[in-house]
Amino acid sequence: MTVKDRFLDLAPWGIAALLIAGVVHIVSILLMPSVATRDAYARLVAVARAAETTSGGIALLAPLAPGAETLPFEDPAMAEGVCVFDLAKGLLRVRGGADGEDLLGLSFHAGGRVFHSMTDRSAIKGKIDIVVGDAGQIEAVEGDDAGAAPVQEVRITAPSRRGFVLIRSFAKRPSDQDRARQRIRAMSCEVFQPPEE
Amino acid sequence: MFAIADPRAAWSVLRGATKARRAAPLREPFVRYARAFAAMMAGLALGFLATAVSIHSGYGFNALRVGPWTAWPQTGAVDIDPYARAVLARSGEAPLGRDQGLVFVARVDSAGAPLVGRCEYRVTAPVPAARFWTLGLASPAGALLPNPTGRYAYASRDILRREGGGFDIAISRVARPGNWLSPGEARDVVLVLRLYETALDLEARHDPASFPNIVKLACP
Repeated sequence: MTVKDRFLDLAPWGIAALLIAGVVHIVSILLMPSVATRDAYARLVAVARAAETTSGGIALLAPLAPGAETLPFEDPAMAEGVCVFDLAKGLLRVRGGADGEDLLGLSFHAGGRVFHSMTDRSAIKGKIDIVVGDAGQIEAVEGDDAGAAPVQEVRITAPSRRGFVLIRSFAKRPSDQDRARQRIRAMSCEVFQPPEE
Repeated sequence: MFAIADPRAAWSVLRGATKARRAAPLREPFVRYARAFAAMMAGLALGFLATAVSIHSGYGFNALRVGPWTAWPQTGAVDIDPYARAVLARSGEAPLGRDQGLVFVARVDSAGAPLVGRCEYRVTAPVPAARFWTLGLASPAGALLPNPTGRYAYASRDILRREGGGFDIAISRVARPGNWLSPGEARDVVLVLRLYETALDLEARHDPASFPNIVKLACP
Protein backbone atom coordinates (compact mmCIF):
# COMPACT_ATOMS: atom_id res chain seq x y z
CA MET A 1 0.00 0.00 0.00
CA THR A 2 1.59 3.28 -1.06
CA VAL A 3 1.39 6.55 0.83
CA LYS A 4 -1.06 7.82 -1.78
CA ASP A 5 -3.37 4.85 -1.30
CA ARG A 6 -3.24 5.30 2.41
CA PHE A 7 -4.10 8.99 2.03
CA LEU A 8 -7.03 8.21 -0.29
CA ASP A 9 -8.15 5.58 2.19
CA LEU A 10 -8.22 7.99 5.13
CA ALA A 11 -9.21 11.23 3.38
CA PRO A 12 -13.00 10.62 3.56
CA TRP A 13 -12.75 10.04 7.30
CA GLY A 14 -10.77 13.23 7.68
CA ILE A 15 -13.38 15.16 5.72
CA ALA A 16 -16.12 13.57 7.82
CA ALA A 17 -14.31 14.63 10.99
CA LEU A 18 -14.07 18.23 9.72
CA LEU A 19 -17.77 18.28 8.80
CA ILE A 20 -18.70 16.97 12.23
CA ALA A 21 -16.42 19.59 13.79
CA GLY A 22 -18.22 22.32 11.85
CA VAL A 23 -21.65 21.13 12.89
CA VAL A 24 -20.60 20.70 16.53
CA HIS A 25 -19.10 24.20 16.55
CA ILE A 26 -22.17 25.89 15.07
CA VAL A 27 -24.64 23.98 17.22
CA SER A 28 -22.68 24.60 20.41
CA ILE A 29 -22.46 28.34 19.70
CA LEU A 30 -26.17 28.55 18.93
CA LEU A 31 -27.19 26.50 21.96
CA MET A 32 -24.93 28.32 24.40
CA PRO A 33 -27.51 30.97 25.41
CA SER A 34 -30.12 28.33 26.21
CA VAL A 35 -27.85 26.04 28.21
CA ALA A 36 -25.89 28.74 30.07
CA THR A 37 -27.01 28.63 33.70
CA ARG A 38 -25.23 31.77 34.87
CA ASP A 39 -26.37 34.28 32.28
CA ALA A 40 -27.58 37.75 33.21
CA TYR A 41 -31.23 36.62 33.39
CA ALA A 42 -30.50 33.75 35.80
CA ARG A 43 -28.32 35.98 37.98
CA LEU A 44 -30.90 38.74 38.14
CA VAL A 45 -33.77 36.36 38.91
CA ALA A 46 -31.79 35.01 41.86
CA VAL A 47 -30.83 38.48 43.09
CA ALA A 48 -34.26 40.06 42.54
CA ARG A 49 -35.83 37.59 44.95
CA ALA A 50 -33.56 38.61 47.79
CA ALA A 51 -33.22 42.30 46.94
CA GLU A 52 -35.28 45.16 48.32
CA THR A 53 -38.41 45.63 46.20
CA THR A 54 -39.78 49.13 45.79
CA SER A 55 -43.46 50.03 45.98
CA GLY A 56 -43.33 50.18 42.18
CA GLY A 57 -42.34 46.52 41.93
CA ILE A 58 -38.70 47.12 41.00
CA ALA A 59 -35.94 45.13 42.68
CA LEU A 60 -33.23 47.57 43.76
CA LEU A 61 -29.79 46.06 43.41
CA ALA A 62 -27.29 46.69 46.17
CA PRO A 63 -24.57 49.23 45.29
CA LEU A 64 -21.65 47.58 43.54
CA ALA A 65 -18.88 46.39 45.80
CA PRO A 66 -15.91 44.09 45.11
CA GLY A 67 -16.98 40.49 45.40
CA ALA A 68 -20.67 41.40 45.49
CA GLU A 69 -21.30 42.23 41.85
CA THR A 70 -24.40 40.70 40.32
CA LEU A 71 -23.22 41.20 36.75
CA PRO A 72 -19.70 41.73 35.44
CA PHE A 73 -18.64 44.99 33.77
CA GLU A 74 -21.30 47.12 35.43
CA ASP A 75 -20.60 50.76 36.11
CA PRO A 76 -20.00 51.46 39.82
CA ALA A 77 -21.37 54.97 39.22
CA MET A 78 -24.82 53.57 38.43
CA ALA A 79 -27.62 52.75 40.83
CA GLU A 80 -29.46 49.80 39.36
CA GLY A 81 -32.94 48.36 39.53
CA VAL A 82 -34.38 45.41 37.70
CA CYS A 83 -37.82 44.13 36.69
CA VAL A 84 -37.81 40.48 35.74
CA PHE A 85 -40.77 39.65 33.51
CA ASP A 86 -42.53 36.59 32.19
CA LEU A 87 -45.03 37.57 29.51
CA ALA A 88 -47.02 34.38 30.18
CA LYS A 89 -48.35 36.24 33.24
CA GLY A 90 -49.35 39.32 31.24
CA LEU A 91 -47.89 42.41 29.66
CA LEU A 92 -45.36 44.59 31.42
CA ARG A 93 -45.72 48.34 31.76
CA VAL A 94 -42.73 50.40 32.84
CA ARG A 95 -43.49 53.94 33.91
CA GLY A 96 -41.53 56.79 35.33
CA GLY A 97 -40.66 60.43 35.12
CA ALA A 98 -37.61 61.56 33.20
CA ASP A 99 -37.14 65.14 34.24
CA GLY A 100 -33.87 64.84 36.15
CA GLU A 101 -30.67 66.16 34.71
CA ASP A 102 -28.77 62.92 35.24
CA LEU A 103 -28.84 59.99 32.95
CA LEU A 104 -31.51 57.36 33.43
CA GLY A 105 -31.18 54.40 31.12
CA LEU A 106 -33.53 51.50 30.46
CA SER A 107 -32.47 48.43 28.58
CA PHE A 108 -34.84 45.60 27.73
CA HIS A 109 -33.24 42.17 27.54
CA ALA A 110 -34.80 38.92 26.38
CA GLY A 111 -33.56 35.88 24.51
CA GLY A 112 -29.94 36.87 25.04
CA ARG A 113 -30.22 40.23 23.31
CA VAL A 114 -31.09 43.83 24.04
CA PHE A 115 -34.34 44.31 22.17
CA HIS A 116 -34.90 47.91 23.19
CA SER A 117 -32.96 50.58 25.00
CA MET A 118 -33.54 54.20 25.81
CA THR A 119 -32.44 57.01 28.07
CA ASP A 120 -34.32 59.84 29.74
CA ARG A 121 -33.47 62.01 26.70
CA SER A 122 -35.69 59.93 24.46
CA ALA A 123 -38.66 60.01 26.84
CA ILE A 124 -41.80 61.57 25.41
CA LYS A 125 -42.84 64.76 27.21
CA GLY A 126 -40.69 63.91 30.18
CA LYS A 127 -42.49 60.63 30.79
CA ILE A 128 -41.36 57.07 30.32
CA ASP A 129 -44.27 54.77 29.51
CA ILE A 130 -43.35 51.53 27.82
CA VAL A 131 -45.44 48.42 27.30
CA VAL A 132 -43.71 45.12 26.61
CA GLY A 133 -45.62 42.15 25.25
CA ASP A 134 -45.32 39.27 22.85
CA ALA A 135 -46.67 39.65 19.31
CA GLY A 136 -50.20 38.47 20.23
CA GLN A 137 -50.48 40.68 23.30
CA ILE A 138 -49.30 43.79 21.48
CA GLU A 139 -51.78 43.06 18.71
CA ALA A 140 -54.59 42.77 21.26
CA VAL A 141 -53.61 46.10 22.83
CA GLU A 142 -53.43 47.80 19.44
CA GLY A 143 -56.78 46.35 18.37
CA ASP A 144 -58.32 47.82 21.50
CA ASP A 145 -57.43 51.46 20.92
CA ALA A 146 -59.15 51.98 17.58
CA GLY A 147 -60.80 55.38 17.77
CA ALA A 148 -59.58 56.04 21.30
CA ALA A 149 -57.36 58.91 22.42
CA PRO A 150 -53.88 59.15 20.84
CA VAL A 151 -51.52 56.57 22.26
CA GLN A 152 -48.95 57.93 24.70
CA GLU A 153 -47.11 54.73 25.40
CA VAL A 154 -44.34 53.03 23.47
CA ARG A 155 -45.16 49.42 22.61
CA ILE A 156 -42.45 46.88 22.11
CA THR A 157 -42.62 43.27 21.05
CA ALA A 158 -40.24 41.07 23.00
CA PRO A 159 -38.38 38.31 21.11
CA SER A 160 -39.04 35.80 23.89
CA ARG A 161 -41.36 35.60 26.87
CA ARG A 162 -38.85 35.75 29.68
CA GLY A 163 -36.52 38.65 30.14
CA PHE A 164 -35.70 41.64 32.28
CA VAL A 165 -35.63 45.40 32.23
CA LEU A 166 -32.47 46.90 33.69
CA ILE A 167 -32.83 50.45 34.95
CA ARG A 168 -29.60 52.34 35.43
CA SER A 169 -29.57 55.67 37.20
CA PHE A 170 -26.38 57.68 37.05
CA ALA A 171 -24.81 59.11 40.19
CA LYS A 172 -22.34 61.69 39.01
CA ARG A 173 -20.59 61.66 42.38
CA PRO A 174 -20.37 58.75 44.83
CA SER A 175 -22.39 60.88 47.29
CA ASP A 176 -25.27 61.05 44.79
CA GLN A 177 -25.96 57.30 45.02
CA ASP A 178 -28.96 57.83 47.30
CA ARG A 179 -30.52 60.34 44.96
CA ALA A 180 -29.92 58.01 42.02
CA ARG A 181 -31.66 55.20 43.89
CA GLN A 182 -34.50 57.54 44.74
CA ARG A 183 -35.12 58.06 41.04
CA ILE A 184 -35.52 54.32 40.58
CA ARG A 185 -37.94 54.19 43.50
CA ALA A 186 -40.08 56.74 41.69
CA MET A 187 -40.53 54.36 38.76
CA SER A 188 -42.83 51.39 38.46
CA CYS A 189 -43.12 48.05 36.71
CA GLU A 190 -46.55 46.49 36.63
CA VAL A 191 -48.05 43.42 35.01
CA PHE A 192 -51.45 43.78 33.34
CA GLN A 193 -53.69 41.54 31.27
CA PRO A 194 -54.35 42.24 27.59
CA PRO A 195 -57.86 43.58 26.88
CA GLU A 196 -60.51 40.98 26.04
CA GLU A 197 -61.64 40.80 22.45
CA MET B 1 12.85 17.40 23.17
CA PHE B 2 14.42 14.82 20.98
CA ALA B 3 14.96 14.50 17.26
CA ILE B 4 14.37 11.39 15.24
CA ALA B 5 17.81 10.39 14.02
CA ASP B 6 16.66 8.71 10.84
CA PRO B 7 13.19 9.65 9.60
CA ARG B 8 13.15 6.68 7.22
CA ALA B 9 13.81 4.25 10.02
CA ALA B 10 11.04 5.85 12.08
CA TRP B 11 8.64 5.56 9.16
CA SER B 12 9.39 1.89 8.67
CA VAL B 13 8.79 1.30 12.37
CA LEU B 14 5.44 3.08 12.08
CA ARG B 15 4.55 1.07 8.98
CA GLY B 16 5.57 -2.07 10.73
CA ALA B 17 3.25 -1.15 13.59
CA THR B 18 0.31 -0.59 11.23
CA LYS B 19 1.03 -3.80 9.42
CA ALA B 20 1.12 -5.65 12.71
CA ARG B 21 -2.24 -4.13 13.61
CA ARG B 22 -3.65 -4.97 10.19
CA ALA B 23 -2.46 -8.52 10.63
CA ALA B 24 -4.55 -8.80 13.79
CA PRO B 25 -7.85 -10.57 13.13
CA LEU B 26 -9.95 -7.40 12.93
CA ARG B 27 -12.54 -8.04 10.26
CA GLU B 28 -13.50 -5.46 7.64
CA PRO B 29 -16.69 -3.89 9.13
CA PHE B 30 -15.01 -3.41 12.49
CA VAL B 31 -12.18 -1.46 10.91
CA ARG B 32 -14.76 0.84 9.42
CA TYR B 33 -16.59 1.21 12.72
CA ALA B 34 -13.34 2.05 14.44
CA ARG B 35 -12.57 4.67 11.82
CA ALA B 36 -16.07 6.16 11.96
CA PHE B 37 -15.77 6.34 15.73
CA ALA B 38 -12.35 7.98 15.52
CA ALA B 39 -13.64 10.48 12.94
CA MET B 40 -16.61 11.32 15.18
CA MET B 41 -14.45 11.79 18.26
CA ALA B 42 -11.97 13.94 16.35
CA GLY B 43 -14.88 16.00 14.97
CA LEU B 44 -16.38 16.52 18.41
CA ALA B 45 -13.05 17.52 19.89
CA LEU B 46 -12.26 19.90 17.03
CA GLY B 47 -15.73 21.45 17.14
CA PHE B 48 -15.62 22.11 20.87
CA LEU B 49 -12.08 23.42 20.56
CA ALA B 50 -13.19 25.88 17.88
CA THR B 51 -16.07 26.99 20.13
CA ALA B 52 -13.78 27.45 23.11
CA VAL B 53 -11.30 29.46 21.06
CA SER B 54 -13.97 31.68 19.52
CA ILE B 55 -15.69 32.56 22.80
CA HIS B 56 -12.41 33.48 24.41
CA SER B 57 -11.49 35.95 21.71
CA GLY B 58 -13.83 38.86 22.19
CA TYR B 59 -17.51 39.30 21.46
CA GLY B 60 -17.97 38.06 17.93
CA PHE B 61 -17.45 40.35 15.00
CA ASN B 62 -17.36 44.07 14.23
CA ALA B 63 -15.17 45.30 17.04
CA LEU B 64 -14.47 49.02 17.14
CA ARG B 65 -10.76 49.43 17.90
CA VAL B 66 -9.14 52.74 18.63
CA GLY B 67 -5.56 52.52 19.87
CA PRO B 68 -5.65 50.34 23.00
CA TRP B 69 -9.45 50.69 23.34
CA THR B 70 -11.95 48.15 22.03
CA ALA B 71 -15.74 48.34 21.97
CA TRP B 72 -18.29 45.85 20.61
CA PRO B 73 -21.19 48.10 19.57
CA GLN B 74 -23.41 45.31 18.31
CA THR B 75 -23.62 43.55 21.69
CA GLY B 76 -26.23 46.16 22.59
CA ALA B 77 -28.21 45.89 19.36
CA VAL B 78 -30.99 43.56 18.25
CA ASP B 79 -28.86 42.21 15.40
CA ILE B 80 -26.27 40.78 17.77
CA ASP B 81 -24.42 37.85 16.20
CA PRO B 82 -24.57 34.31 17.67
CA TYR B 83 -20.96 34.44 18.83
CA ALA B 84 -21.53 37.56 20.89
CA ARG B 85 -24.71 36.03 22.34
CA ALA B 86 -22.80 32.92 23.33
CA VAL B 87 -20.09 34.96 25.03
CA LEU B 88 -22.60 37.15 26.89
CA ALA B 89 -24.59 34.11 28.02
CA ARG B 90 -21.45 32.61 29.51
CA SER B 91 -20.09 35.76 31.13
CA GLY B 92 -23.47 36.91 32.45
CA GLU B 93 -23.10 40.47 31.24
CA ALA B 94 -26.02 42.74 30.49
CA PRO B 95 -24.54 45.04 27.85
CA LEU B 96 -25.48 48.67 27.47
CA GLY B 97 -28.13 49.21 24.81
CA ARG B 98 -26.84 50.74 21.63
CA ASP B 99 -28.91 53.89 22.23
CA GLN B 100 -27.51 54.30 25.72
CA GLY B 101 -23.83 54.38 25.07
CA LEU B 102 -20.67 52.50 24.34
CA VAL B 103 -18.24 50.66 26.59
CA PHE B 104 -14.58 50.66 25.63
CA VAL B 105 -12.18 48.29 27.35
CA ALA B 106 -8.39 48.63 27.27
CA ARG B 107 -6.38 45.54 28.12
CA VAL B 108 -3.10 47.08 27.01
CA ASP B 109 -1.46 50.48 27.37
CA SER B 110 -0.95 52.88 24.47
CA ALA B 111 2.36 51.19 23.67
CA GLY B 112 0.66 47.79 23.41
CA ALA B 113 1.96 46.20 26.62
CA PRO B 114 -0.62 44.41 28.83
CA LEU B 115 -1.89 46.40 31.82
CA VAL B 116 -0.62 44.93 35.08
CA GLY B 117 -1.50 45.91 38.63
CA ARG B 118 2.03 46.36 39.90
CA CYS B 119 2.92 49.01 37.31
CA GLU B 120 2.14 52.68 37.50
CA TYR B 121 0.24 54.34 34.68
CA ARG B 122 -1.00 57.76 33.76
CA VAL B 123 -4.21 58.14 31.80
CA THR B 124 -4.67 61.51 30.15
CA ALA B 125 -7.48 63.34 28.33
CA PRO B 126 -9.17 63.67 25.87
CA VAL B 127 -12.34 61.64 26.02
CA PRO B 128 -14.70 61.55 22.99
CA ALA B 129 -17.80 63.70 23.24
CA ALA B 130 -20.55 62.15 25.37
CA ARG B 131 -23.22 63.36 27.76
CA PHE B 132 -21.49 61.59 30.64
CA TRP B 133 -18.55 59.28 30.87
CA THR B 134 -16.88 57.17 33.51
CA LEU B 135 -13.38 55.77 33.48
CA GLY B 136 -12.47 53.02 35.91
CA LEU B 137 -10.46 49.93 36.67
CA ALA B 138 -11.73 46.37 36.66
CA SER B 139 -10.40 42.85 36.58
CA PRO B 140 -10.15 41.19 33.13
CA ALA B 141 -13.41 39.36 33.98
CA GLY B 142 -15.18 42.63 34.79
CA ALA B 143 -15.14 42.52 38.60
CA LEU B 144 -14.35 45.54 40.74
CA LEU B 145 -10.90 45.55 42.31
CA PRO B 146 -10.85 45.70 46.11
CA ASN B 147 -8.63 48.59 47.14
CA PRO B 148 -8.12 50.80 50.18
CA THR B 149 -9.64 53.92 48.59
CA GLY B 150 -13.07 52.42 47.89
CA ARG B 151 -13.09 54.24 44.56
CA TYR B 152 -13.43 52.24 41.37
CA ALA B 153 -14.00 54.88 38.70
CA TYR B 154 -14.05 58.58 37.97
CA ALA B 155 -17.04 60.19 36.31
CA SER B 156 -16.95 63.17 33.97
CA ARG B 157 -18.48 65.33 36.69
CA ASP B 158 -16.36 64.43 39.69
CA ILE B 159 -12.90 64.31 38.19
CA LEU B 160 -10.38 67.02 39.03
CA ARG B 161 -9.54 68.98 35.93
CA ARG B 162 -6.70 71.23 34.96
CA GLU B 163 -7.28 74.66 33.59
CA GLY B 164 -8.66 74.17 30.09
CA GLY B 165 -10.59 71.01 30.96
CA GLY B 166 -7.84 68.42 30.60
CA PHE B 167 -7.23 65.82 33.29
CA ASP B 168 -4.99 62.97 34.19
CA ILE B 169 -5.57 59.92 36.35
CA ALA B 170 -2.76 58.15 38.17
CA ILE B 171 -3.06 54.40 38.45
CA SER B 172 -0.84 53.18 41.21
CA ARG B 173 -0.81 50.97 44.27
CA VAL B 174 0.59 53.82 46.34
CA ALA B 175 -1.26 57.08 46.97
CA ARG B 176 -0.89 59.82 44.36
CA PRO B 177 -2.10 63.41 44.48
CA GLY B 178 -4.98 64.43 42.23
CA ASN B 179 -7.08 61.78 40.48
CA TRP B 180 -5.88 58.43 41.70
CA LEU B 181 -7.19 54.92 41.08
CA SER B 182 -5.72 52.03 42.99
CA PRO B 183 -5.68 48.51 41.50
CA GLY B 184 -5.26 47.06 44.99
CA GLU B 185 -3.46 43.74 44.93
CA ALA B 186 -4.80 42.73 41.51
CA ARG B 187 -2.31 41.18 39.12
CA ASP B 188 -3.99 41.97 35.79
CA VAL B 189 -6.24 44.94 35.29
CA VAL B 190 -8.27 46.48 32.49
CA LEU B 191 -9.44 50.05 32.03
CA VAL B 192 -13.10 50.56 31.24
CA LEU B 193 -14.30 53.74 29.54
CA ARG B 194 -18.06 54.14 29.35
CA LEU B 195 -19.45 56.82 27.09
CA TYR B 196 -23.12 57.52 27.76
CA GLU B 197 -25.12 59.02 24.92
CA THR B 198 -22.25 59.47 22.58
CA ALA B 199 -22.55 60.45 18.95
CA LEU B 200 -19.45 58.46 18.05
CA ASP B 201 -19.58 57.26 14.46
CA LEU B 202 -19.34 53.46 14.50
CA GLU B 203 -18.32 53.16 10.87
CA ALA B 204 -15.47 55.65 10.94
CA ARG B 205 -11.86 55.00 11.81
CA HIS B 206 -11.11 57.07 14.86
CA ASP B 207 -7.91 58.80 15.71
CA PRO B 208 -6.36 57.24 18.85
CA ALA B 209 -5.44 60.81 19.86
CA SER B 210 -9.14 61.49 20.47
CA PHE B 211 -9.22 58.75 23.13
CA PRO B 212 -7.51 58.64 26.53
CA ASN B 213 -3.83 57.92 26.37
CA ILE B 214 -2.44 55.26 28.73
CA VAL B 215 1.25 55.69 29.52
CA LYS B 216 3.28 53.32 31.63
CA LEU B 217 5.44 55.26 34.07
CA ALA B 218 7.23 52.76 36.22
CA CYS B 219 7.20 49.06 36.94
CA PRO B 220 8.71 48.25 40.32
